[in-house]
Amino acid sequence: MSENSIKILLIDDEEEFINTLAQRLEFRGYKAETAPDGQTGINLLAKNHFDVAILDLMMPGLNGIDTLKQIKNILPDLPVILLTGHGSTKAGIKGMHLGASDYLMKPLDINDLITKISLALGK
Amino acid sequence: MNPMPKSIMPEFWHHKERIAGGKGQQFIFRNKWFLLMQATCILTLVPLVISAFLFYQSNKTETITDLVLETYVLAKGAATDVEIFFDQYLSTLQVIFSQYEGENLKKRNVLKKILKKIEKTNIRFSSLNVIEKNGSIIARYGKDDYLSGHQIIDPVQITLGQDHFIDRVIAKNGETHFIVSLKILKGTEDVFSLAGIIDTRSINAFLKKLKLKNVVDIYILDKNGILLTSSAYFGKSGSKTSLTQSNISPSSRVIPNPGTTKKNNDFLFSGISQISNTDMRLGILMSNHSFKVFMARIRSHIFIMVSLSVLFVSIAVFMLVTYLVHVLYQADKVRQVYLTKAARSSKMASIGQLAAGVAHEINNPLAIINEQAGLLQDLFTFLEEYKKDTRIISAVDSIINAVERAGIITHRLLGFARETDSCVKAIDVNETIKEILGFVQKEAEYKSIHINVQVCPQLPEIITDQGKLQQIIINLVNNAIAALDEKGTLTIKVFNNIQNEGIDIIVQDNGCGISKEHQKKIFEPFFTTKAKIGGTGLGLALTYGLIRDLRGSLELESRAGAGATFTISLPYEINEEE
Repeated sequence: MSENSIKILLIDDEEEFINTLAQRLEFRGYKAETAPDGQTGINLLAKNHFDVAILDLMMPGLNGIDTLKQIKNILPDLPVILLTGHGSTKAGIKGMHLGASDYLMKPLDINDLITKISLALGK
Repeated sequence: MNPMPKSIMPEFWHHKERIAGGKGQQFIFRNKWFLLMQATCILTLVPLVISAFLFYQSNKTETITDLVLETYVLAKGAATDVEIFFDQYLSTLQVIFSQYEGENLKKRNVLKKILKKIEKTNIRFSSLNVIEKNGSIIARYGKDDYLSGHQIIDPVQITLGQDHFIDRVIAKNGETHFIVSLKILKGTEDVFSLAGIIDTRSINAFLKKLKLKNVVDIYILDKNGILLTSSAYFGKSGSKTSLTQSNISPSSRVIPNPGTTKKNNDFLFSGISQISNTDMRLGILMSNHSFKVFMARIRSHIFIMVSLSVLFVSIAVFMLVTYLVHVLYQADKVRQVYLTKAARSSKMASIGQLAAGVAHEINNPLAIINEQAGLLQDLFTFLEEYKKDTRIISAVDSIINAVERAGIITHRLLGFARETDSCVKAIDVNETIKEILGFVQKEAEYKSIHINVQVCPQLPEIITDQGKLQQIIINLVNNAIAALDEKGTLTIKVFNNIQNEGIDIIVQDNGCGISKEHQKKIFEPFFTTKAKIGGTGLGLALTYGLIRDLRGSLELESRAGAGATFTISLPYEINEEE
């Protein structure tokens, strides 16, 4: 699978962050869409095909862990990479126990993200 | 006034106390010391003084009892001597009667002859008298004439009385003398008495000769308390004594402190004893001199005993109370350290929470800055028209680098927040030291301090409490930086001490060092050489306590002016449950 055909969904309440990140990913040949909260993200995932989801853990309303649980209920094979601004590895490890592929801490390095996307897709 | 000499002044004496709760001292130790001293002294010394007083009183009573007994015996003995004296005179009359039975005793010349003969002996009759049953003198011979024609004997005593009697007789001139009379019966009708008069002076001379020990006065008195002989204390013969009727009743008795005519004799014993076959009593007065001497000796002994006891008890009480208050003070200091530690832990936990919140809130805007800058970088990287403008790319790189630095700080803050909780886990000590040095790097740079870190590449991870370990190393590193002047060197070394099944961390500086005197006190709470610049004196005490918590040890090597080396030894593993 080439970068051009990889479709990524970014879920975070920090819209400015995910919009910018989406643009940067597009510069690198990925197709990226954004969702401002967990529920919107789940809906998008249910209706459309995505290869990878990037999910923030700290969100108002449906938080990252609950969103992850619901995603894994409907799409158990979808790779999900978690983002955390809390600096704690605990939440990331908990997410990985629930089926997340990997986790990254904010502020993130775009190259680290791309590496983790590649790893999640088995490249 | 300070009651405590400087050389023995305990540590708590000048402690600045605060009564307020929380971390303050619970007690004003000097007041406690005074209170305990007073209470203990009262509890020990008051019974001692009471015992001494009771002992004195008991001795006094016993001595008085002995003196009373002595007075009784002496009075009884003296009365017996007087009885013997009168018996001698009576016996003389009996001898006269038996020797001169054939002659007519009623003749004056016969009486004269007899009296002349008696004068050669010790018997001193001042006159001999023959008295008819009606009481009148029918014949007499003697030196005294004050009895001439004077009815000196109650006729009843002659006719109906006993065979003999001894009594006093009042002369015409008012003087008192003694009469010894023998009843003589010739046939059935001829009854008369042969009576000898004894001059009072003879009796006085006899009494003086008795020389009884401690007896200052001896006298004879009648049943009404009238003196029959002269008394040094009660007055002349014929005077009335101040003794009450009950005190002179016909039995031997002792009267303490009788009223006498002489002053300055505030304590005398009067012994009164009945003279047998008469209605007269013999009285003696005992001197209180021996009593006074004895009681003075007892008082002196008691005073020495009480003084020595007070001295020893006071020393013992002083030492005991000082020791107890010192123990209390030390215990309170330990309590204070734990309270301070708890307060600090609580404060650290609060700071940790605050740090976590701040870090999280900063991370999100940082992430946006990072992505926006990244986007700019991408624009200038991916779009050909901007690629050549290196200034913009350089500016964006600077923003991204700054964000990275800020990110490191927030991650460190979050790390600190996590580590304020007690958590035993596997720790890479090399990494922990690097993290801590990150905190102090700036301060070291400002002071131009060179930090030399010699980590051990093959150092095993140790299982310990990371928060405590961080606090230990931070405290020692901060102390070292404080001790260093500009361009000093702080060296941190880590060793794997296989022999001791643990690791050694050495924190070394080449600063001002610690004198031998200060080394003894440096781990004690509140000992500080930095009081003027806000030092609490708790840093090393807490560090020492934390190392003990981690089952480790801390050693110090230092000399004044030659730097200090702290060596922390920690085991590979501590049991979390401990």
